[in-house]
Amino acid sequence: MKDNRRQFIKKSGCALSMMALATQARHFGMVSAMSQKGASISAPPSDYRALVCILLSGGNDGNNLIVPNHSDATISNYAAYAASRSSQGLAIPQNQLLPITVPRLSNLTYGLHPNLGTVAGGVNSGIHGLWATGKLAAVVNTGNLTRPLTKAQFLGNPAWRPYQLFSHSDQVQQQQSSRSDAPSPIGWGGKIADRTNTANNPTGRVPMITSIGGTQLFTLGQNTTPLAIRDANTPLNEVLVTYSTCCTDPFSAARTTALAELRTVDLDSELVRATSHIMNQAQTASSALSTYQEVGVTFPNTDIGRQLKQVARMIKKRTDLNINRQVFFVELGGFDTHQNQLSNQVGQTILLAQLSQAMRALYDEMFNLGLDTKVTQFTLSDFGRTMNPAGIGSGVGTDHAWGNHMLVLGGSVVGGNFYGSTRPDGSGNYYPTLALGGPDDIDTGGAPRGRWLPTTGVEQYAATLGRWFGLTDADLPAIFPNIGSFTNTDLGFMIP
Amino acid sequence: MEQIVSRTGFGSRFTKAVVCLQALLLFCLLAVLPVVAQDEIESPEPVLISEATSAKVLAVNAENWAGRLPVSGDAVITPNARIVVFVTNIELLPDEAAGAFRIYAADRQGKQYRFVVEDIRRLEKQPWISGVTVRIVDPSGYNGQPNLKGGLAVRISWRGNTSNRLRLTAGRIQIPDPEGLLPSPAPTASPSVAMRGSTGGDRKRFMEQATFGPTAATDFRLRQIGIRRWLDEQINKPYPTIPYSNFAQKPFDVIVGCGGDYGINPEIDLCLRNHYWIYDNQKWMIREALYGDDQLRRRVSWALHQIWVVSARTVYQNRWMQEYTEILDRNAFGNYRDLMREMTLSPAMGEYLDMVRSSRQNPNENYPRELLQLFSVGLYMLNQDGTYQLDGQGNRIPTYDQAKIDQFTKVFTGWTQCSNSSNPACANVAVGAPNFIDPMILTFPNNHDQTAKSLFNYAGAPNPTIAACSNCTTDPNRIAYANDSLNRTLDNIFYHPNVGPFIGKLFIQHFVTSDPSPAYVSRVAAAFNNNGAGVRGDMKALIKAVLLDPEARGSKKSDPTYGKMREPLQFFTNLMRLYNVRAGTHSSSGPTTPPAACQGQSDGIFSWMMGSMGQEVWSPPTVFNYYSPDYVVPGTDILGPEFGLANTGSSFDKNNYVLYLTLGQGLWMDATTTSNPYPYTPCGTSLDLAEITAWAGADSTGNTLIEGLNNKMMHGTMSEAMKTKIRAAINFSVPAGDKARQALFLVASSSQYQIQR
Repeated sequence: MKDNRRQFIKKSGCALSMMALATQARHFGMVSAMSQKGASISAPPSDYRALVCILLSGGNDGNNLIVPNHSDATISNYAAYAASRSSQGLAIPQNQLLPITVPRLSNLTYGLHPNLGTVAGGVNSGIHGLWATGKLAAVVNTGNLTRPLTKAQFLGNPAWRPYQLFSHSDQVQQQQSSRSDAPSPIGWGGKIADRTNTANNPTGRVPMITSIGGTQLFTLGQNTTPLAIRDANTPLNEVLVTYSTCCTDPFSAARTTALAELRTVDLDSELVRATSHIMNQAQTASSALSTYQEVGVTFPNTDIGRQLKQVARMIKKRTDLNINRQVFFVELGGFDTHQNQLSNQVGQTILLAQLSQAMRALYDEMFNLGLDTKVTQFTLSDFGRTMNPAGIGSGVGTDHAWGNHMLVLGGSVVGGNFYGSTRPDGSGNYYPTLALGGPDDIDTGGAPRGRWLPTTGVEQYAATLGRWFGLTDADLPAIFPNIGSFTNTDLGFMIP
Repeated sequence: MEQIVSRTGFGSRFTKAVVCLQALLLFCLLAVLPVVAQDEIESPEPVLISEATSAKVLAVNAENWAGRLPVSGDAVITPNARIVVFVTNIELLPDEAAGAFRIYAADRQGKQYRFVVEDIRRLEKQPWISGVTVRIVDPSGYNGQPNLKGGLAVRISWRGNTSNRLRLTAGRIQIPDPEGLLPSPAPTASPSVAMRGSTGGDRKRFMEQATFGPTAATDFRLRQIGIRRWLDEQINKPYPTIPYSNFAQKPFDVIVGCGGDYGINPEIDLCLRNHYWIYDNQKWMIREALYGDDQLRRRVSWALHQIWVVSARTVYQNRWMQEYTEILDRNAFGNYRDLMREMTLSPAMGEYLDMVRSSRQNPNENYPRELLQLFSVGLYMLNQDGTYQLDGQGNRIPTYDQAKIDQFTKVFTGWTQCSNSSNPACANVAVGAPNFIDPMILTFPNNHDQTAKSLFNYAGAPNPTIAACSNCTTDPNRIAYANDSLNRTLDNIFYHPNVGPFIGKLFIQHFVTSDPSPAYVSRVAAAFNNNGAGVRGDMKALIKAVLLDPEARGSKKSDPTYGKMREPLQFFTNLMRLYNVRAGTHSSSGPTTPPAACQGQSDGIFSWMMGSMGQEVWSPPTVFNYYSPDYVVPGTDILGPEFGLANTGSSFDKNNYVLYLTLGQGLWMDATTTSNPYPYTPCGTSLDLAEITAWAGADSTGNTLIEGLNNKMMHGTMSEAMKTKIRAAINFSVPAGDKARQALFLVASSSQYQIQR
């Protein structure tokens, strides 16, 4: 391939006029095709698959998402949990926890947050029931890592730590870029699209990535920007409408023409070119989205419910959009619960109810369409939160921490189990010891707060999802630059 | 410098202007200036020197360079090689060096690279030519590193202007020049560097940078007195010259405060709107932006809001947010250190970032973390020019770690809202309502952490440690200790060498360009560090340094990465001010006349537009602002914060709103009726298109209209290609008003106009 191109250039005798043309080439999307050399090129896939990334921004308190609901003395049990959280009023009473059995931990019982089940005013029974049917899994004590770390390594090698631990903006970016060694302007969703969109969606009418949560790092690649649309309050055929191209009389038609043609000039300015590119993308997608079918199940009328409803509408249009592989990005904010974590208006309590209701609705809709094995929902979040609460009583909250639990839901998930629960030395099965200043707490000194050292890196989690999506061994290091530091790049929670 | 002065007629005035800029002493300005307006520096485009007869850049490997001009471009080009290229048609400030230059290279795939400029020095024999040492490596690595075999197209930029493009190829093989690349051999004598005075184009650019949009009145004033005196005039305006929105504080609970919830009766809705929603603050802000005289203070205050973020998503009462915005206004031309203290003790900030809930017993690190990360020093150690300091392995050096945050957190414990009505400091406390007006105090002094703290310990740091309290046995002693610790801590942060470049770069991004050269950041940081009279943190010096810099000034900027996307609010205020924004002309039921109370002015209500484009006024989604200063323009490696709000959805929204204002009837007004006694948009908003309609009517070729729009909106930089496209769309037999609207829509919605350059 390389030699052929050199030959061609030599023969044509215009190596440098190619260079002159290059600026033009960028404008017409040729670069993105060229830059994919080295990516696996094969026939487009015959089936459909979608990843739905749900960012719980602000840092979801995993310690109240999943709680030990047993009294086994050899591993942190409910009493250990309550010891850290009950006196300040943050512990969930044991009888309210929704029980789940964890085969990997000797079939011990754990508990999900009560609002992951049936809730007052809900539109479905939530996601708790999908644990027992094997569609819902948890990847526990996951976080941003540059490499596997023991506590001694963490304390002794500051250079091995993710940059700016506990800072929202940095940690939420690392979740989205998948790399914790250095800041990156592009995200792992975007990088997947950079590398696989042409092969997977050769005639796609919309970008591989659709974001209902705005243009965020996860959705950006070197040559990828997302289709960013509003939530389901806006009918899908109205998410991208420009009234300036409304009419067909000659004067209006001339306006439509000029509007399009103005985007082809003055591209020497990188900023003008980028602006025009976004508008071009909107125009193409707009015509592709002129019709749609409504969903069948009831979605909750919440922020996250409306976002996932719009995802469902998009998926129902997949054939019409000529798209085989899609990535969706949605965001539920408000998890930065330094206070009022238990509030039914703003706290984690209400947010988890909204999350569970919305995820269940999307799952049910996909199930009804026969697509449940083709669509996988998963969560990301800035970081976990301190085991030790901040404040007391009704205003109680938690501060920024590290290791956290993630949820994965779909028909291709090997559900009903914990993943990522291997000991740091690779042996046995494991759950973080919920003790302030204990073996998994990286806080040292007089008043440790309970910040768990993750046992699974976000890159391992992402790579497992990526493999299911169709990434090859060769793709992984190109997308996840530090994946080579981890021995296990498939956590096993996805049916291939 | 002496040489330059004697060689160019312009030099002496130029030099004095620079001295003035640095000294910022009024008497200096008066001494130099006649009463007429002073011209600003118009920097020329640099010229990159080629071989005598081809467009191959003259280049020599740095290790072989003997300080002379080579005859051919035979440098050996390898990754990481240092080569010297040659540039002319520039005049450097005394401290202007390598950081003022950028080398752009494009490989044959069209991938763009920005190489490191390491050195620049004048040739002894031909002092009008400078040798620029470049390392063939793109430090961002965004596109990887270029394949050098196919050659590169290179150009150099300086102060926002780019040079000609030349090819950089290895070896002696001679090949034809690609189309569009022309030789530019070394001049044999000093070219007369065109440092001419500023033009109308520069005035328009200045108004876009320093106000919420050009108006004829501001332009007239600038013609009269020039940019520098206009800046002083704005800065010296008495504060406040405008009345703020003023509503009483209410309890947290809406139902208690207004005696009911939405929709019960119109009076309750009005109470909700005036007290529990920032409707009035938004209206006030937008009206001041559209019509107010305090344009510079408002722009600075708006920039400070986007650094010291408090969001009405949490701090939702009108009166609460108003007190916060007054702190921004009050300190806009003051000293940054004073702003740090006022903002730290602001009850709105205390509520937003949880300091009001941080006690010795239950410390909350939210505020101290963001104070360091976002409001003062940033995450990494910076050089004065804003570039990162690197350790031996080439990694950035964190400014602090978690242990340091824990130490700083102690200082900010124990402060609460001023809710004790018997304390004279709490003058604005009202029964049953939280006090968001008076600064926070130590209501329970023993909740303040009285142990020792270890703060920043940079060279020359004041108060690297604070000793434990030795006499905290009484409340007055505890209060005195907490206040003293706070002042010492703020000094410890304020004098950190990062603050100048960190805040300076943010200001440049908000006012002028998203990805400034290191030299520009360095000059602005220097002004922050010392206003010329030994004062650090003088906002006046900072603002002037940002707006008067040669990288800001000039009538045209050709660097392909120069400028910034207009943020949604300023995009619309600019458009509206250009067209004498006024009250509406239509309601939903057709043409109508606005009520007399509107006095012909817009009601300033279009927060719904701003919200859908991601910038609902005073309501950023998080403490990281409406958009991140570190956001990178997709498909490039250049910073473009406002692009964080630009996506398929918002770009169509913007397009549609421009359509309503130009081709449509503007934004509708709601009539006052029995069923709607308090309409939200009582006046509506429309543009005055008389001037451009007259241009369209006066010249059937459309040229008068197009050139008028070009000068009015794009300061004369509209390309011929763009003019041709617009001309084709108005070459119809339609009424002049329709032509004018069509052309205005096309310019206003264009990518070219969306970028402020």
